[in-house]
Amino acid sequence: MRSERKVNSFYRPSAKEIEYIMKSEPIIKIQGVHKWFGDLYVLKGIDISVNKGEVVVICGVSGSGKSTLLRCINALETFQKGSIIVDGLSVNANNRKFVREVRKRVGIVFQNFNLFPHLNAIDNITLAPRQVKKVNKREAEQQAMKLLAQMGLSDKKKSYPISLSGGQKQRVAITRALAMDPMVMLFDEPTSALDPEMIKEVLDAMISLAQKGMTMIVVTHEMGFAKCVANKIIFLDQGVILEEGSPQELFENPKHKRTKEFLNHILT
Amino acid sequence: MYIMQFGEVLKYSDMLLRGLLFTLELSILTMFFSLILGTVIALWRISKNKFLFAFATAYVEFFRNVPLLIVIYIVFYGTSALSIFRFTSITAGVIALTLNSAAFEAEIIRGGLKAIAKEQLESAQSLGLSKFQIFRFIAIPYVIRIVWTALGNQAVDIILGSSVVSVIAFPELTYAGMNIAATKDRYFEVFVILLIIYLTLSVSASSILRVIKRVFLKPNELE
Amino acid sequence: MTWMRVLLLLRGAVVALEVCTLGIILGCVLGFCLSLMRLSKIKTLNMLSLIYVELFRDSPLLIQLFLIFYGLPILFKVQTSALVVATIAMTLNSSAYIAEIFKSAIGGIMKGQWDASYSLGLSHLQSLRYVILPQAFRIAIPPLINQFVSMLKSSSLASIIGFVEITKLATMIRSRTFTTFDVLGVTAAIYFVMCYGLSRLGSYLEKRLEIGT
Repeated sequence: MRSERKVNSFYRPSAKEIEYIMKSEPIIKIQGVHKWFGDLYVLKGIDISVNKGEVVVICGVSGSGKSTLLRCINALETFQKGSIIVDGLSVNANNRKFVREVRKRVGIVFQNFNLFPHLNAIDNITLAPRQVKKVNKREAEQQAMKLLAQMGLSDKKKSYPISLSGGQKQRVAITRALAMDPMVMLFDEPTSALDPEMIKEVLDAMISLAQKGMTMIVVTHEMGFAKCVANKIIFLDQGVILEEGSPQELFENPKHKRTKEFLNHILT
Repeated sequence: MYIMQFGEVLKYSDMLLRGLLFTLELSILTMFFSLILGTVIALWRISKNKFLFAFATAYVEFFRNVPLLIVIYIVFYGTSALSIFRFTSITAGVIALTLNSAAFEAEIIRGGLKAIAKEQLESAQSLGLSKFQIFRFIAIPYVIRIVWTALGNQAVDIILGSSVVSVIAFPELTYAGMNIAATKDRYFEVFVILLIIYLTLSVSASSILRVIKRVFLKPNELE
Repeated sequence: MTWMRVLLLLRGAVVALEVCTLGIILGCVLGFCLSLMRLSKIKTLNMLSLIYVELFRDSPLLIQLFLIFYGLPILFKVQTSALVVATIAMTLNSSAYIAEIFKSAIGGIMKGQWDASYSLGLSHLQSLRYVILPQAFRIAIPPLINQFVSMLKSSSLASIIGFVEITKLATMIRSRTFTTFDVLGVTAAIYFVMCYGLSRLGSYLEKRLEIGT
């Protein structure tokens, strides 16, 4: 379903050039998105492009619409105006079939983990591949074990969420999302509900994921993470993108007063 | 073909009305007395006194695990067998229903009392309020808001439970209905009408209680 | 009170347990369907189930028993025993309460569970089947046990339409001999042991299955 490019008939692109063209089409294109919650105007015209392999960090004060924006991408929330395109598919919450296709390509990790408490770790991870992608049990478990090993959680495969620490739960949640082999991973404040000792293990997992080339959109206040792997930081304030740029640009030369205030607040 | 004859039954509407009045009287008397008794039992349930606690616990457990019908039989037949005096069916009915409801209400009220956080009591005490004042101005309003819905459900249960008292010939609505039915041999129609009346009673009672809650008990963060 | 009579009452208690067991199983099936209707966004289904639930919860069980007892021959032209009437009444009545139990169990599952399962690509039905319902059924166990205890107690009303179970036997023994207090005392004791025992079993299960975490 990739969008096809019109090519001038006198010009034949080489294989390398075709590959380059395909790669540079943004994997996620958010255009002019507006959202209201009844009377509350939450997103006031958002435009974001995310290319393959990019790590985008979205930050802002609570209520600025960051989580809502993220949840619009995989249709957990609806939006009234604008468009979101994921891998050529238009996200439209009213079209259920499309929504399922989008969700197969987009993985999301929540602040509160949302692990299934009645299933152990490996069942949590293999449920979706088995039921949605119809993978058989052995294959799904093999894949799950591989991913768990990369996370360093092989010994926890039969553990239930209740016996896992916060950091372990979140890493299982990340593994669960990865098991669906998504093209993009969304992270909604993944470390906000964690005790300080456990934040590092989750961020490390996310960093290694980024280094492997995963496209990621992360809503977080962890600026250390942003400095480390983010290609782009977006500062969202009251539903609009106030500033956007590379970590260096934003940290060293913030243009807006509010960005400065926010960064000061966070970095102290 | 059995042809339903509601008209025949409705000719006896005056008997039904009398029965209905008895039902209402029984229900209201029960609600009143069981609330008082229930509060006492609830206080004993949280008391430090071992005897009061044991008695209240036994009381609550007894009435929670023995059917209302058996309780009615015990109060009506059992007492006359034991002692010299006999309860009339009316007295026995009120007593049985009150004792039964009080047990459930005691648990509800106890839940409400336990919900009063210790911190609230401590802050009130440190402000210099006397025990009685604390009780009156802080505890009671708080507890009432919490237990209103549950007690409201209990009130509906009392109305529905009043129908069981018909077995000892308490002249309430169900008993009146059974008499009419036996007289005219029109059981089905009578009970359809009784069903409608009871439904109206319950729904009205719970609606009124809900409205009172919304209007007079100002909504607060307990909702 | 001879042992024969106590044994008789115990047999009556077993009858009551049997009827209630059948009633709660059938009531769970019916109640589960009703709960899905109550949660459905389709207005007609929602309304119908609401009417059903209110009907059985806001009217006395005794009246329901009588209606079924006298109505069955009239509406369906069948002559049935008090046993069948009692079972039907217990089923219909409990299904209304069980519908509310399941409805609040399902509704009580945190939204995050739905978010997570939808995000993984599971359909609404798949989410219900693999994520929501397994959790909801576990949560529903304590209230269902309460419901069973409540049914055991209300089964005593079936004696009034002539169903021979423990209460009916008690009244029969009472009227034939004059041992009122003994009979009623033993009957009350049997009910107490059954109901209290089941409640304790329920608490034990609750702790064992760690419900409420």
